Amino acid sequence: MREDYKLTTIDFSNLSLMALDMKGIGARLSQICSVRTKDGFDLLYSFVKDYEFINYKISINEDTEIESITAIFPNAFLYENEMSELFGIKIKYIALDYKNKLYDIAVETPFK
Amino acid sequence: MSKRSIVPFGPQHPVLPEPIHLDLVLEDEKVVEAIPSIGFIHRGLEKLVEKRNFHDYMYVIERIMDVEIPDRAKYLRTIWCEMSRLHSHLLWLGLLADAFGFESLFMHCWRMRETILDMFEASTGGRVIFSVNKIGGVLKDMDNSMLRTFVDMFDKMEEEVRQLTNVFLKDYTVANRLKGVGILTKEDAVLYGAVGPMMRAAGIESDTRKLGYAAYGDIDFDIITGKDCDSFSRCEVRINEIFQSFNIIRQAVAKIPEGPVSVDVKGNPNGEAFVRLEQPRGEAIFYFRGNGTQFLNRARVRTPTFANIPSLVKILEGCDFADVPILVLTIDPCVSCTER
Repeated sequence: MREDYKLTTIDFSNLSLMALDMKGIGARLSQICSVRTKDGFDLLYSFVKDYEFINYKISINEDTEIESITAIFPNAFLYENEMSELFGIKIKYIALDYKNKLYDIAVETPFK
Repeated sequence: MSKRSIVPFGPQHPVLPEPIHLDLVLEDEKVVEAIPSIGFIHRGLEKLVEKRNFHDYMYVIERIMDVEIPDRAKYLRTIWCEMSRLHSHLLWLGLLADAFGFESLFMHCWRMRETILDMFEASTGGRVIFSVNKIGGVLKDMDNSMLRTFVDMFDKMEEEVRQLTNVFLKDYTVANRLKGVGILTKEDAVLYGAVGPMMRAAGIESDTRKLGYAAYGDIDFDIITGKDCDSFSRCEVRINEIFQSFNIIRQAVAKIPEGPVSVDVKGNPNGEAFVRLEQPRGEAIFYFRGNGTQFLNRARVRTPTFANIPSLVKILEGCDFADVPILVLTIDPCVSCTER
């Protein structure tokens, strides 16, 4: 048996609104993942509500600055620090910002 | 207000099973804030996957390539998954006993775990990392006499495990260290994204195995939850999951069909997929994006411990300094997998 899941593409300006919607239905943030693309990055936000696996894709350019969702989902801080440190994605207002000291790595933004 | 002090805790510390670092902000003996740091053993696994072939990751690749594996392989994977849960939970119980100073209990837990590892070795050749899965099925079969022998061994082991776990559940010294300590409410478990026994101990009825991957769709089992949301509840959930695993293995052995254990898979993955699995420590999420070559564009692994670190930070707030090692243990941390 294979799990079906939703993957919806949204604009980065709707990120906080989407997070609020997810919190409103009682979903938990289960992961955030970044993928390098030709023009920038794909950001994949995943939520779980009961057994429903809900995913949102946001495509951004290298220079786009996004807002943190730590004010809505406090557990986002680890994912967002990872995105910032490994991919060089600009994120403002992270509740606990490690300033690129989350991982002990020799190469700056290895996935960029 | 008492004077605040910061105690660096880990990554190397005698009471820590894994190298996590916490900056503990204390007021007298109370922790008022805990700031976690990982990265001490980061190995760049997700980056390395871009430069080597994808053959170590079956479930997601099978999903992207739309491969249906034989039923016997599904049952074998289920049996090995549950054996992994058994050895992982016994390992955790041993570490817990060691953390509160019950050395003989620790040794008995690990003695029983050794039996499981011996069974892994007999059936796969490996003891912990057994590399028996492949894209399209499994590399080795277990004949029916081996499966029956395993079930007989589990029948005998179950009684021994019950005696052992009774100590955890009924001994007042264990209860004194665990009851009412490190409470994570149901609401906080959702807010902080807890997974696995950590989440279920908070009363949330959710288990990714219920999605029915491998042979779990054919197996009858209930989701084990706790009600007190504390460290004792997390211990109780893991103990009950041990007996549940014995039961799942018995069902899987009784129902396993005859037939091949793998299918040939040709080509390279082109596309993307998410897969969720219930590992012993909780839900793991894999996201892969292939490009039609033998290398992947992206391989994302979100381990259960990574998801449980924010919950750990939450339960450390307000705890006694002396309870920190126990609370770190109750998330069953695997920092090596978390850092990838």
